Amino acid sequence: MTCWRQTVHPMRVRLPNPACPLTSPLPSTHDPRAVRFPIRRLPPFLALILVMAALVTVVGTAKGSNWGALDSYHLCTEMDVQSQCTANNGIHVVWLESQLMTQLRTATLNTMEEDYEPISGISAEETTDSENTDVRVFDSNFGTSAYAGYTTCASDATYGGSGISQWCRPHILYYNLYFENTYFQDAPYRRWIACHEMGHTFGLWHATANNHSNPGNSCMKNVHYGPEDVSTHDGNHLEDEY
Amino acid sequence: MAIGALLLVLSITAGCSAASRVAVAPQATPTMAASGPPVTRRAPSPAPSQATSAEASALTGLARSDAFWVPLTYQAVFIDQFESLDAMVERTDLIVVGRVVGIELDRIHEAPGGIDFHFMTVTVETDAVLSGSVETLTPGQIEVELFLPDFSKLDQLRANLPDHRHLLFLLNAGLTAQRHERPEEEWEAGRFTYLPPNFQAVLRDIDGQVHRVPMAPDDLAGFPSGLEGDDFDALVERVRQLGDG
Repeated sequence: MTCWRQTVHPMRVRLPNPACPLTSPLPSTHDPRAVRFPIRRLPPFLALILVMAALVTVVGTAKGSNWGALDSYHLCTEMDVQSQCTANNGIHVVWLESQLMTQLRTATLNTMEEDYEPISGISAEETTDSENTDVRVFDSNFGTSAYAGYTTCASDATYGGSGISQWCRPHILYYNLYFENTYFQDAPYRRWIACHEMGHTFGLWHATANNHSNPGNSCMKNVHYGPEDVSTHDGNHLEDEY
Repeated sequence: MAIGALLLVLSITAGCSAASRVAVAPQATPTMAASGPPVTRRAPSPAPSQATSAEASALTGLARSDAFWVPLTYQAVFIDQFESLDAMVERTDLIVVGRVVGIELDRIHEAPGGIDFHFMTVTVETDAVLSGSVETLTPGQIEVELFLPDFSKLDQLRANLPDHRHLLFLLNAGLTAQRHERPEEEWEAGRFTYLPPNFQAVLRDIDGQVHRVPMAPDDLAGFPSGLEGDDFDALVERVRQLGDG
């Protein structure tokens, strides 16, 4: 049972699941003092409201989260190509299409092995079985479109979970071959975009000053060209969630 | 406040009861063919649903604008990301003030993995050109290509064309093809098409104030959220001066 749920955009604060004991452990990025209020003498409903108000006040000032099915505009459903979903668990089996641009294949395998596999609770490995997989990786020339990389849920995906933990399986990761002669010729760029897109398939969002303790160190950094590694903040999220 | 709290309680309870719900999308088995040349087809736009149109067209102002722009926004690694207004002026080909007057399906990209990506042509009537030279077949209008993630929302978009001005910072598709060393035939093919490099580049005039598009990706420095609520005309003038420089 998930004892902490996250409200959708724009507040992005975590709220307690009333079914959970108030002593449930909080995610590491939040202040555990937030739940210690003298509520025993109050009517239960009023106490609940007070706890919620206190959480909005206390937790809302802390750094938020860049993990989860957070997008209230594009819900994690089979109807939305822009679904923002998490993964069903920390075991990430990845299938790469056979004709994937060699350099992109290398970058993808490198980020799996060097960035995600070392995270406690995460397993990232390649498979040759395109059906029974968590992520399918393709490249394709989408034409003059604004994106170089994109993730979504597969057309035959299974959906599950609830709230911010809604997941789909498998995800699809696309590299836009429109940029094969420029951006994708640059090794640091390939390394960054592979780390970034793989992060999305785990449920990580763009790292900004509002949701990340140190976005400048994260490959999920919301810039054109970012760091090549998973940050400690993002790694902790994945450890907590999976 | 109390009503809000009640809604929060109800939503949390609903979330609990929905736990572990699993559904399988009724889609065809994905195509596993390797990606070759882009598979793109032109398709006629479907007729809009009358019921959806009638319901949505009652919206006005910001709500109407959001009903149009929200379905068009998404997270991705974009072609560019700007740290400031100056940078956005410098790294775009055309800056216009204009109004959206139409949206139609332009092309469908049949991506490997069995997913169709729908790209729209949004027609913008230009009130003023602040920087760059316009490439168009229809004087007074430009065509902007946008990806619509959820194609079922096209009716909603058609019924909610925003009635306000936009400040648009655009890339020319032909010049973009040239910069990214695409084959020369793509340079000419993209000559009359524009695209926003990301959603920082779409700023809206709602009651005289600047509004970003929902979900617009902020730079770490807080651009463009820092423009939110500023006087729209003053921003236009500032951009005009930057463009002249």
